[in-house]
Order: sequence, then C-alpha cells, then structure tokens
Amino acid sequence: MEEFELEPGEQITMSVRKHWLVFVAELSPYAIFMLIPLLLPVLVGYLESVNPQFTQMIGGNLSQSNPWMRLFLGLWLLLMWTGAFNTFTRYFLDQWIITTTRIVDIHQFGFFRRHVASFLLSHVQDVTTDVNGLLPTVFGFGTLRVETAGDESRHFIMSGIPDPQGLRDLIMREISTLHPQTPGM
Amino acid sequence: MPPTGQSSDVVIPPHLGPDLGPAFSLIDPKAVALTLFYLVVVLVLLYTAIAAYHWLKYGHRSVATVPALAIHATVSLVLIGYALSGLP
Repeated sequence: MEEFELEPGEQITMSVRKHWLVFVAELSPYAIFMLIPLLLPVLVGYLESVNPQFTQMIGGNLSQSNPWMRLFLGLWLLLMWTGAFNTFTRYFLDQWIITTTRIVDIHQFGFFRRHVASFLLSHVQDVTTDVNGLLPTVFGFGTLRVETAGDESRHFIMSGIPDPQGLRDLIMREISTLHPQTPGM
Repeated sequence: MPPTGQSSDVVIPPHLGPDLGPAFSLIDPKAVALTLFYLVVVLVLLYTAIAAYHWLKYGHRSVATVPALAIHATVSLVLIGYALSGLP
C-alpha cells in the first residue's frame, strides 16, 4: 500500500478484511437483479398458457431471439456486473492492518475518496467485541470497537470482521508487548 | 358488447400505451437504442478505468489485482458484444 509506510522496526501482524459472508450479502442484490430479466421468458410462458394471445398483446416475444431483448438484456447485465465488481473492489481495498505499533484503518468511499487513519496501540484504552445475531454467531464474525485514551478520545469500529475475539486478543497481546511493565492493559 | 368470459372476446389493443401525439412519432427507436448503448458502454469504460487505477495503485502488491481486472474486462467485453448483437 503506497499510502501506508511501515516505520523502522515495525511489522505487520495481521491484515483484516470483512467476512466473506458480509461480502456475499452485499453482492446478493446484484445477483437478484441479474436474474430478473432471465426469468422473463418463464413468466411470459406462464402468462401465455393462461392467455394464448398475451404475446401479441405485449407486441412481440421476450426471448433472446428478439434483438431488442438481447440489447437491453446485455446492457442490464453489464450494469449489474459493473455494480457487483464495484462491490468486490470495495471489499478488497477496504482493510484494517494491525502492526506491532499501530492499527491502520483504510476505507474506500466511492471512487474519489479514500480514507486512511492510524492510531498507536500505546493509546488504546479499550477494545470491545460484539457478535450479535444468528449468522454472526454461526459464521463467527462481528464488530470490534477500539477506543483511544486522551482528551480527544477516538474510537474505531471494524464491522463484519471474522473472528473479532481473536483479533481483540491479538491487539491486547501487542499492547502488552509494548507495555510489559503494565499488566492488565 | 357484454363480456361472455370466453377468450375469443378478448380485444387486442392496437398499442399498449396512450397515444402521445405526433411529436413522439419523430423519435427513432433505433437512434434511442444506439444512444442508450453508447451511454452505458462509455459509463462502463469510465468506471473500468477508475477501478483499474484504484486496483493498480492500492492493490498492486496483491496477486488478485491482475486476475480481477482481467476477469472484469473479459466479462464486460462479452456483455458488450452480446448487447451489440441486438443493435438494430
């Protein structure tokens, strides 16, 4: 990552993206919208069985032998594919990186806004996890909230990450490595 | 004529929508389709260029970058070709 340079002696401990199920859930609207026009011939076939003159009423057939259908189906699928790829791009480029000294939060908002924030592990005051619901419990993903100490207290939220408890333990271990004299941090 | 409930009584309308007047008769459906096609293709190409920039700049160290862009380009071209086959 060009926007993220490691300090001397700093090492990446872990890099985290959202859980694959969260990604699949974000993709599902595109999959559903992709299928809708493909189901049109089935719907027309059913309506034709109810009313044999239905095809004439709508002014032509809706199968792929109709050039207009191919044009609009192709454009529709192209738009849906582009939306799905955009979801994948955001999933791939959004990540949280835990190093031996800090946590880096990288988010891509739209095309032209990329947000990169980092804070030192030595400033971490509190780390909490939240696994809420059936699917998060079964598939093991949830939210990790990291709060920093100081007058300008900040908190970072990593939502939909896999194994938030394991990540919290990792962060606490890194903090205790930084502050071996302060047990309990 | 009172409806008898039989399919032979179904009246097929000459057009589905309302008569919008002679102004709309000047619109060439082929020109509209062509404009729509070019609009969507230009949007997709623009998006692809921006996405490629982001992938190459921020994900260049990942092994997924080139396959992801190649798959996106291939699928997009296939779909553009499919839509092109329907152009009047």
